[in-house]
Amino acid sequence: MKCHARSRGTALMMALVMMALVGAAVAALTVAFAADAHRTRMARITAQQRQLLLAATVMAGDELQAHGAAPRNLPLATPVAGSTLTLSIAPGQEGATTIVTARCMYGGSAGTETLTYRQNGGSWRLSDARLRLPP
Amino acid sequence: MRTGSEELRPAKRGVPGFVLMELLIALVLLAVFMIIITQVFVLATRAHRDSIRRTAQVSRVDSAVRRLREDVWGAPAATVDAQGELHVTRAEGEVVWRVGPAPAPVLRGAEYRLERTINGARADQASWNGLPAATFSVSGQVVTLTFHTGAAGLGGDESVSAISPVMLQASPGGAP
Repeated sequence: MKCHARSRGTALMMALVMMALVGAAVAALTVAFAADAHRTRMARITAQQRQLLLAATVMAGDELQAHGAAPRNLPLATPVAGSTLTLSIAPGQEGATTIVTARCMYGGSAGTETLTYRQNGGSWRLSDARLRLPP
Repeated sequence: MRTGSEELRPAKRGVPGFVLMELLIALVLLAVFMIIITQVFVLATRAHRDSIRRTAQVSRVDSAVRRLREDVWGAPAATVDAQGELHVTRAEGEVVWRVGPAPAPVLRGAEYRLERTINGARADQASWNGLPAATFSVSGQVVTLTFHTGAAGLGGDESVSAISPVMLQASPGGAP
């Protein structure tokens, strides 16, 4: 009887230790998997946002050439489901410059770029671009 | 009920027990098993440590590529010189990216560092250690950073590209 009780105690201890080891391994794997999944998801989102903001740069140039630099906000249509893209046109600090801020929302996070256009003769030339994407 | 004298009585002849040979075989098997377990444990520990270092390396690559993309995004010009350094023209000055040896490499195939300077001075977040060998190239409006990961046993080359809308709009046939 004593021998059986000791045997059960040892088995119980071994089982608890094994369960703790397996639990720790599963927890570590889950954390690593979640971090990798988050990185992959953010890489996909920021790649799509860069594409949207690149398209916004082209559209901003077209918009300035076609309708001038009067301050305004423009929502743009995008072919990407679940995304929004807006342009805000405002006069720059220096004369003959216009600041266009493009904001895109995709995958629950926002990306922004600030474009500086300089008037060159009758046309607007892009002189600087600043990109801000989610980390 | 058994008395104490009965419990101390030696085993009778004919009762099955362990002989010396059986004990020796059991000890040898146990030793072999322990050696295998130790090897597996060492391998698992090494793999875990390598995995942590590789994860940190991926984070450093992500950070460097993100900064490179931001630099190139607003650049009206980008060139690679004879030393393989990338020169990116920005409104705040010239940003130079170079690949050099890392001070204390801890991972095989990650013995290099990326450095970023603005007008010759180191800026914030200016270097990333423990990266694979890398080279820059510029083709039109696209800057490509190629990591040569073969030495790390991770396959062939891996490339990431960064585009400049400013160069894109200034190029012949580009957007207005």
